Amino acid sequence: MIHITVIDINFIITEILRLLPFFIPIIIIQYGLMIFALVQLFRNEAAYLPKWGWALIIIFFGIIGPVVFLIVGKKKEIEND
Amino acid sequence: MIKVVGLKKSYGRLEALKSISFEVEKGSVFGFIGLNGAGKTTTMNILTGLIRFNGGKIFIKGKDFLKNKQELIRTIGYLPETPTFYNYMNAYEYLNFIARIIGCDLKKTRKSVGKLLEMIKLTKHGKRRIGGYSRGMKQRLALAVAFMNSPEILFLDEPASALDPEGRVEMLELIESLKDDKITIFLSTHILNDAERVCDKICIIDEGKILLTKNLSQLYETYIQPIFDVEFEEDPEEAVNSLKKLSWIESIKENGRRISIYVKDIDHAKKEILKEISKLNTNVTSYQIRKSTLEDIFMRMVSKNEII
Amino acid sequence: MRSFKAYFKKEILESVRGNKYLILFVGTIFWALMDPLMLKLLPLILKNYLPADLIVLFSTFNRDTAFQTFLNDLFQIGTIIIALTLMGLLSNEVSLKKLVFPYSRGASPAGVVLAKYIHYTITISLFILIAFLTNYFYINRLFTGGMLSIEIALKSSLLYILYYSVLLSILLYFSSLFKRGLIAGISVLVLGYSLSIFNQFETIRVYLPNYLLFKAADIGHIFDNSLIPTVIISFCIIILLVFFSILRMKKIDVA
Ligand SMILES: Nc1ncnc2c1ncn2[C@@H]1O[C@H](COP(=O)(O)OP(=O)(O)O)[C@@H](O)[C@H]1O
Ligand SMILES: [Mg+2]
Repeated sequence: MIHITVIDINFIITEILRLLPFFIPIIIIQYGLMIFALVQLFRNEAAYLPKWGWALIIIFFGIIGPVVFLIVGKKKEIEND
Repeated sequence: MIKVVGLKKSYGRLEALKSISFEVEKGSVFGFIGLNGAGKTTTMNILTGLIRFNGGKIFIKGKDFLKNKQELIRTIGYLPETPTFYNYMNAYEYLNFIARIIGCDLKKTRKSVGKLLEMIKLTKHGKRRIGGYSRGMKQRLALAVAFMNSPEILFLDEPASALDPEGRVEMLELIESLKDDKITIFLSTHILNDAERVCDKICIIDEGKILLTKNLSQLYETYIQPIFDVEFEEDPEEAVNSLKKLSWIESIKENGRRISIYVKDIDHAKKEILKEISKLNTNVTSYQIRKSTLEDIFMRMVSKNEII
Repeated sequence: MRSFKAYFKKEILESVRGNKYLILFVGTIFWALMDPLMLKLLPLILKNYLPADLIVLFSTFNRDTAFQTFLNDLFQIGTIIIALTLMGLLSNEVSLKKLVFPYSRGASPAGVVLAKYIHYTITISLFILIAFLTNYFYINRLFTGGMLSIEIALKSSLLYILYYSVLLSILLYFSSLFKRGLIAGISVLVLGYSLSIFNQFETIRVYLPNYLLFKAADIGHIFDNSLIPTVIISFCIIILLVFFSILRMKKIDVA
């Protein structure tokens, strides 16, 4: 029983190592977008929520956070006068 | 140049324009004057083809506006009351964008965009996003947009209202300088001094009705009634009441101890008014005959309208 | 044509400065990358915690089913992102009075509407194509089995592109009808999702655009005769709605 688990963990680790290169683009997109959204948050006015609220959403809600911020949270220059 | 016949416009139940008619001659400056909510902006939005209307006819350069809209609109420039831009663009980009829509030759445009920016003194800020402009800077940019490609008819909706005193003077000087060109200007304002300074013809609109359309010179001739300003030592309540009974006095405007008397027959009044005042048993501190200004005419027209 | 060019450039500028390209790109490409990896990883991670029969369920994914999972996620999330990003396409222009200057200087409504529609159709089509190719590449590396091929992936992407072209024309028209973009966006979402229910009914589904999605996932018989009415109807919807949007933008009060 214990023996099998050990093998499994080894197997999982090698599998994950094998998959690692595939994660690189995702990580780049995810963190790139997060940083981009945070920069935008600092530079512009935020709508609906205080800035720290948006910052939490951007950091902790995975890919959804920055996208939601960019769609609704960033006060669009198009819309204010 | 512009002929409007029986123009009507309603917003739901509100009749904003109640069958207005007027004519604007080529090369003139037409002053469209009225209080807030009189219907000036509505009229201009209709004449520039931006909103629909409920009745009446519009002719521009002798052609039916509705039938030749696309052609006629190309000869028009409009400076709206509150101009809106794509705020993420800078002034260069926006002017080039409009130039593309007008279809100016782009090489010529680049030159004229530069010239326009110089004219409105925005060259320094030409590369900044419009979203960050002040109200006055936006107003000046708007003027450049309206003026692009030298339109034959220029509609200016309260062009000076957002500007500081200096900018206002500049705007008026600009309009005056345009007068030499063969350009027709339709100018709406509620600042009567401005209208008096630059307009050839005055049209007074109130609550969606035209009260008067006259050349400025004609206007002074017919309405140039001196006004008698009299100041009393005490509250002139009684004096006003007895003066109002006189048939040759048209109306009296009270302003504290000071009253302004409007009369029907000037010559008669000049002779009689002092006699009448001396009959009153009160002390007069000052007496003065004043030439009426556009403002006086305007106030009289608008308040008369209220009584009716 | 003048207005078309002016507005085409304007939309490019607006998409760059308003981060629209970025949002649309991430919204489509992310699932193409993430889905296959998740499908691969989940059974590994959960192996020790879940009963064996459930694990089997996870492990049965081959290239075809992995592709279908991506298609489904792209539809679910891609639609939201497209609808919310582009819902103000015309309504914002009107309600924020941005058309006063262009219209007063003779902009043609047809040019404005066509520029917007064509610009975003090209953008979304391009992003969908990239997402499909990326997904195909990932699946090929991570999974075995199934009959998925590059040809199938491309055919499938074509149907998705057509579907989103239809959806975009609906969004365009709703955006010209309603003053508030959010109403247009939500209406399109409700319509897009609810029409998928009809994919259970064989007789009518071929007349609805969501059948395109159904066939896109039908690996092996993606292009068959049942698609003919769907494709014809899709093109009719696009042409009609773009036309109606132009009419609407001609009549509407922009000040
Ligand atoms: N979009 C609108 N909807 C409803 N009422 C309007 C609208 N625009 C103007 N009005 C009304 O029409 C009247 C004339 O307005 P306007 O033309 O803007 O006056 P002015 O420019 O002379 O100040 C006002 O009573 C105003 O409230
Ligand atoms: Mg006004």
